[in-house]
Amino acid sequence: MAKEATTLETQNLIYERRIRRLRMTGGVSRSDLINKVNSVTGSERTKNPVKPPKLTPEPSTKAT
Amino acid sequence: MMTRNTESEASKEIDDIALKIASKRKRPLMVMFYDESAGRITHDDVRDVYDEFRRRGRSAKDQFKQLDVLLHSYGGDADACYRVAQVIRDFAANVTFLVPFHAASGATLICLCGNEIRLGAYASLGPIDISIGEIELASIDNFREFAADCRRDIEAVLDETESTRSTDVEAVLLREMVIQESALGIGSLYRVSSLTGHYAFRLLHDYLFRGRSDGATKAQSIADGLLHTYPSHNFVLDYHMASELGLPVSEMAEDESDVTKSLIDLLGHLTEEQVICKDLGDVDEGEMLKAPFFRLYSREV
Repeated sequence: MAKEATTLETQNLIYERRIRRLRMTGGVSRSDLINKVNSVTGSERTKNPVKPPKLTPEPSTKAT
Repeated sequence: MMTRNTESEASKEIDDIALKIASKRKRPLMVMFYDESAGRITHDDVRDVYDEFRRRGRSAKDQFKQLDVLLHSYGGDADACYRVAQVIRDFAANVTFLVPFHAASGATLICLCGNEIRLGAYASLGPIDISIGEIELASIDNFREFAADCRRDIEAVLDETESTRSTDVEAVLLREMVIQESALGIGSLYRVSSLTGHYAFRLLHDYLFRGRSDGATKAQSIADGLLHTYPSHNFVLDYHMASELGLPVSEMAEDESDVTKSLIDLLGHLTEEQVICKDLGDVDEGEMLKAPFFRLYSREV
């Protein structure tokens, strides 16, 4: 059975993982990452706008 | 300042006090400590709290019947606090928070998932209203009240003099506030505060008031109180006020208070010595951030 991590070893694990994540994200917060990704999606949407569906004209009720 | 030769010495010092608390309370203990000035609850904590439960062999399918969570923090990201609270509840059927000194703002939000909150001598919680930059929701609420008071005072004078004139002083003052703080800034505050209120309601309703027919009313009343009652984000919500608000608070006996405070003191010293809660650097808009301290003492004592 693996040896249980000591209190200080646990804190080192926590610290090292955060440092790794900071290197990956450059310290950008979660909400900023979400905004960044979604703003790209937004600009893509502007470049390729979805065409609104054509509306079928309502049948005329006028007597012929 | 005390110096320690090895990490194992520091580990032992922390463990000795933590196990003393767990033994005294006859419950497993989760310690969550954040540095006073550079510790903030962030989304990274969600995974680390979860992993600490798993690392110590716990499973959501095999919940603790009872768990103490010793919390020391001035708060942080509201979304992260809500998620941390849910992780804690995934692993424990009944949770008591131990607050030796303070669990303010977002840390108070975490405490709302508890069945009980035990406060040390002169310990405090805080409002869960929010601030963005230098603007506090409480300031805006207070200014609105001030504007309404001005209108009422002037209307009273107009009534006394039987004048037919009216006053637009409230509208003028509110317009000036929007010009100074920007409409979007004020809009952001209200959006985030309604989100914080929703999280508070959810936690109170699902845990403290679970299964009670008046649960929704009580949860809403406390959530509203924590968001809008107090005049400042930094307001000190002590045992008496927290109890009056309807929170499940109790006061620690002196020996329990002393031993929990001594653990926080030790963790504070070890942070100063850079043994725990090490610097992560300037990560959030130039603000220094330190890692938190998490440790689960999971043996059923």
